Amino acid sequence: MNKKKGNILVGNVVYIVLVLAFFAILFIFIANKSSATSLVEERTAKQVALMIDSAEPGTRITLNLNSVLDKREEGREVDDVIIITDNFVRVQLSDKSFYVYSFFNNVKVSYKIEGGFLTLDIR
Amino acid sequence: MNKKGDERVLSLYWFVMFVIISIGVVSGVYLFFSNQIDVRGAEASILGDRIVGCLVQNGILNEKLLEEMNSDNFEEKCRLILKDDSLEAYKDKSQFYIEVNADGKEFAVGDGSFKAFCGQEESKRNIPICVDKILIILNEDNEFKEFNILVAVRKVEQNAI
Repeated sequence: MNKKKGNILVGNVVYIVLVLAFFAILFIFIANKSSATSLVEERTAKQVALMIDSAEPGTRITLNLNSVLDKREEGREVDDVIIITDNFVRVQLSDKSFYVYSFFNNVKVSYKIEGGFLTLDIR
Repeated sequence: MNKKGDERVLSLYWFVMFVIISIGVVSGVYLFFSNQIDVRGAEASILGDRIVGCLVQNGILNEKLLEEMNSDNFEEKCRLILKDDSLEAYKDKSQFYIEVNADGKEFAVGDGSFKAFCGQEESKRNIPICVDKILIILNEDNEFKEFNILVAVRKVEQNAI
């Protein structure tokens, strides 16, 4: 009788553990997918390009990039994460992927990344 | 004996239910995050504002600039670069269409075929996005004039697929 009760308890525990594992795996999958490197690259490139598009000459823009830089591949230099040349913004967080988006505002853009902040000087 | 059989059927039922939920959640998340961020509406609106800022200074239409402007010198006069080489597919095809109608003068820049898609954005995503701005502004003779700008941005590959 006692043995039977013990079996039921073990079964329930296993069942609860499996359910928790199932939801944990789903949660990890969603978290990974929502913070995927490629998504961050695309979002940052478009954000910077639109900021340049809407800026008047003489504007200085500072953007907090800490959450973006945290996603970069180990060993990747901060200066290589964002490259602005001609009328393109290129964001690359790993060797496997990068994202390029263009801006239409014909301005000279100088930029630097310091302390996790991107500073854009529009001239 | 029957109870054990019922439990097995119930376990199988739970297993099948978990599999169905997993497939649903995984495919939903995958579809949601594989969609690109569509910034064409914002881009077209900023471009429209920039053209207004180019032709209207201190609230008055710059008629001299408008008179000099045509589709060939538009980019230079308004300090714009409409050439987009960010994708191989964009190199031969303009991704913008701009139509300006101010004080009776009209000119257009870019791919005119995009105009046919304007107003159809609700039905499909993989077509250009249009922004139409209608303003009433003063000309140099202090008369109110209608200023109409239509901006269409394609960039489907980077925003809608």
